Amino acid sequence: MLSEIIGVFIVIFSSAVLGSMIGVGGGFLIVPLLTLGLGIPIHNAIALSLLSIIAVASSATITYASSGYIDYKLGLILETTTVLGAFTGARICILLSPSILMITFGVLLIYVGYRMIKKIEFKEAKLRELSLNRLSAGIISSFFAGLSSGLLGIGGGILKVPIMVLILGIPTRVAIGTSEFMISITSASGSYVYYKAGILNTALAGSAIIGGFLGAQLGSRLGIKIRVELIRMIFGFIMLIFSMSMILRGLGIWI
Amino acid sequence: MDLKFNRVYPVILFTILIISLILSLAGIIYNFIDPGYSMYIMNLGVLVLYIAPFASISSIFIKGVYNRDYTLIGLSIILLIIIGLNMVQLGLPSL
Repeated sequence: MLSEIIGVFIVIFSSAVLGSMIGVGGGFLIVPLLTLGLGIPIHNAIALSLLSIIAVASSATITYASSGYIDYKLGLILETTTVLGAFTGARICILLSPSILMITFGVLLIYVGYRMIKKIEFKEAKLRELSLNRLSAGIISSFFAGLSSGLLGIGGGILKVPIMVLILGIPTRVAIGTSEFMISITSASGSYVYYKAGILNTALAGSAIIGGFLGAQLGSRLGIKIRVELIRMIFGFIMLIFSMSMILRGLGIWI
Repeated sequence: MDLKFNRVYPVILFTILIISLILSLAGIIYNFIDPGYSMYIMNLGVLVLYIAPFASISSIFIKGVYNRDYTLIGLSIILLIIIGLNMVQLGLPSL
């Protein structure tokens, strides 16, 4: 039991450090490392990942709120559908078999890895009047961001930020701050479904919370001082390796 | 009000996180003494963490009331209702 507690702490702490350094949630690293590295069943890994993301995102929200980079009104508007998506995604996840989840996660990791290596940056749209059509598109796509969060145990910032920047024309820095604020609510909603279903391993929850919070604090400080370009590339390649391992494991091929 | 909110809201969130962190740490340490009781403490740590989103939304609700911003008030109430209904449907938390 002690080895599991330490193992979960190390995985979540290091994922949170790396994730915060390059500005993504650690969920993309936490779930594969817990399943492939520690042999924790994927449903439990997703539950632990979501729990640690609450701590990571809340910690980031503190920083962004102090700097005034959160658009609370927009965050609440988008969060109404995101929360529904998270509740739905978590409920679907419980019904899915581990192999399907592994393959789905693996496919998503290919996209994330590619984005890390290519470093796709979004051009900020010129500030224009927010039309009802664009807001509706943002609200609908936010549902899918929430769905992916609840289903796969990720924060969903990788979808939320592009939605806000590209569809709603919000400045990137505000979009990131608002996304972190939203993630703290979304991940708590998704995590609660796993908690009530008895999938969240309470014995390991403590190390997940501590690892997430401390890792996010350290990572955000290191990210300012260290050039993260190389780390970003390495992170991308690790993602691609994980994606292959998860897809193969999902197909029943053990390597 | 916005400046005051930007100062008070992070303090509320930080306090909740610290309480959850202390309870989690206490749970891990207590695991060596009484594993059964340590589960109870860790469970409490998790439940405190679940309070964080409610605290966020409630803080925004209060900000809306102060600023007489009815959109913020309405949105925070709608979000609280959505989360609350889902939680009731799943079953309220218990220790």
